[in-house]
Amino acid sequence: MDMTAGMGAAGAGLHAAPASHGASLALDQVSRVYPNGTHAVRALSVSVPAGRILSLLGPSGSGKTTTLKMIAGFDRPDSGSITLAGRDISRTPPHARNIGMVFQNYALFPHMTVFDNVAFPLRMRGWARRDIESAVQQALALVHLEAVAARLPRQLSGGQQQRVALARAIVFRPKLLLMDEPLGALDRQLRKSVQSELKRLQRQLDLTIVYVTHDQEEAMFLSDEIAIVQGGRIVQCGPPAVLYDAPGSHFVAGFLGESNFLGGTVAEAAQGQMLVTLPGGRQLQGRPSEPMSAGHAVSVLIRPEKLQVHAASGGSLPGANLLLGRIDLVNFLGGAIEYEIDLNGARLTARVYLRGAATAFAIGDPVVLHMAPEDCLVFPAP
Amino acid sequence: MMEAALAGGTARPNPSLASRPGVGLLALPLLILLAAIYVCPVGALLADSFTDPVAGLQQYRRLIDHPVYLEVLARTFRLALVVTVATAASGFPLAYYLTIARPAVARIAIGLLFVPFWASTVVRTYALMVILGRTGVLNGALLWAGIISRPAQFLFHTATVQVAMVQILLPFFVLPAYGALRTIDGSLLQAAEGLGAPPWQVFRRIYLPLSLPGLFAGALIVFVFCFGFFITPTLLGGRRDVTIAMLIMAQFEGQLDWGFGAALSTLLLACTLAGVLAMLRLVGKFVG
Repeated sequence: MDMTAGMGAAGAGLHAAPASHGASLALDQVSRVYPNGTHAVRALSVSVPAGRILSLLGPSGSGKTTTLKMIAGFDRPDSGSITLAGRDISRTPPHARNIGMVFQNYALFPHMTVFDNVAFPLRMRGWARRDIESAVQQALALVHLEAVAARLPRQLSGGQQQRVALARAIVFRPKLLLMDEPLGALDRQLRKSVQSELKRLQRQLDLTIVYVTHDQEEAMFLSDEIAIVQGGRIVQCGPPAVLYDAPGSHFVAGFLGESNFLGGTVAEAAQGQMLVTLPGGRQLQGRPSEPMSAGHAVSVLIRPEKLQVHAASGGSLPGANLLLGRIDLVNFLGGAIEYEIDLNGARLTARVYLRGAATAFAIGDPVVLHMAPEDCLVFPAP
Repeated sequence: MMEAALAGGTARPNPSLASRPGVGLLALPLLILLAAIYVCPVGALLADSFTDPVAGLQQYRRLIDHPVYLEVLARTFRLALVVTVATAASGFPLAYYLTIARPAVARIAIGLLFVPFWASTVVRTYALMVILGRTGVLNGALLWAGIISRPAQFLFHTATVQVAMVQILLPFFVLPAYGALRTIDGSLLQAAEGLGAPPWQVFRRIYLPLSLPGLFAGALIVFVFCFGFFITPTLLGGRRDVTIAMLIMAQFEGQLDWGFGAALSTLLLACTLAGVLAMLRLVGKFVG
């Protein structure tokens, strides 16, 4: 109750000093078993500091949407607790949680104008008419939609609808903003601009956001932290750069970013280093993700941009970690060229960024690939 | 082709088939049947009201000169309105329940809704007489339980007619209403709740407004049925429960006054059409 009154007073405007209003969120050992016996979420724990963006990234059916629904209150955890701003909200009904949510299909009320849609959460909180008027105008201004306030949702484009949904979800200054694949229905170019816009808004309004997506690029672009979800569990959580450079498992490595994997067996294992024998007999030095002994079947991860491509006839090359191959396909990407390289049956993709007059290879050219040992991450074979 | 595809984007399964020349002929058998057994006879009847026994407006003058006819019309209208509202009020929760019930349960419930159609309205109305009569099941039960000491008179009340009509017409409301309620997107209700609306407000601000087109569709069907209802008021109603349909029947069967019967029929038709148009306008207002 006191919360509602406070919100009313603060409703003077979003342009007021952006007092920190995003709150911290913590999920502790949250589980959800559906009546049919499916374990949708298993003992999931994760926390988001106030004013940060956390992405739940995972394949469909991994439990990320169920997790979001439990945070919003549309589904109840069977065990565990959900804490928002230090208060356990697991048993609070959704309408009393003060959480904004943007749905995948936007869920705009079709019988209300854009203005009424955005005003809805304020009316539910009993704001005064004048305050509602100005708060809605400001929220629409934030998403550049002042001009369409009188229209119905069906008269808007998909991108505009998406922005109305966003304005509606933040106009009441929620403690937390949940977004369920909100950009899934937009085309690629529009998505890019909305992502930047969202980041700007998040900073400006100091929002705490939990963002559900299966698009890894989107997750890396937006997030302070990414939690990779698989089978109802978080398999790894951390800043995008950490997850990209030091994935904890084969699954995470394959899911986040583009990757090459080479199969092999451990030849020698030392502290923080490992020598792997590839099927052709060649050996590769790498960095083990976990201790493994000789003879163990492994999979070596090399990111495409970490592969250096040299002409086979070239002069001085570093001694170790060289592989011979042949260019199989050349894909021009604008700022970079992608080579698909045949390596005695194995295939690698190398991405070479074009700076000045870089040597371009043609299909059929023999090449030497070089990769630094620290860029070769060795996982147990999946 | 392109235009047909765009126009039929959501509804038509195969736009190219729909645009094929002559496809409209498929409707021809029904049109012929309708013309033969509906349009022509009704047209002839309307014509009768101006020509039988002699050409002129005398039948309509008679309608206006004797207030009893317009009174019956007003009473019929009131009956139709009460029954329609009561049917909608009792059918809405049921239709809603069907949308949230487990699919297997919903299927069984919808099957049960069709059970009454196995018996005709006449049979069902007589069955109600058996239940409600002086020596009927209801009186028997109440006497046995000691709630009443003498058989009560349940038949021949306006309220009895209304209850019976609601019972008979309920499926006609529930089925179209259910069809419409099913299309309401559940995420809208969640969105409203998440935005701070307690359940009552979710219903009032979101669910109810979005339900109205479906409710009106069902109500329209019930209203049209009610306005021409004949059997149930005749059998269950008292002397005050005369409807316009009963008057028409009397003209054709008892008085053999086809001209006046035709005039009353025309009046009924006109009033029904007016009612339908009024309701459609209401729906349009809400749907926007």
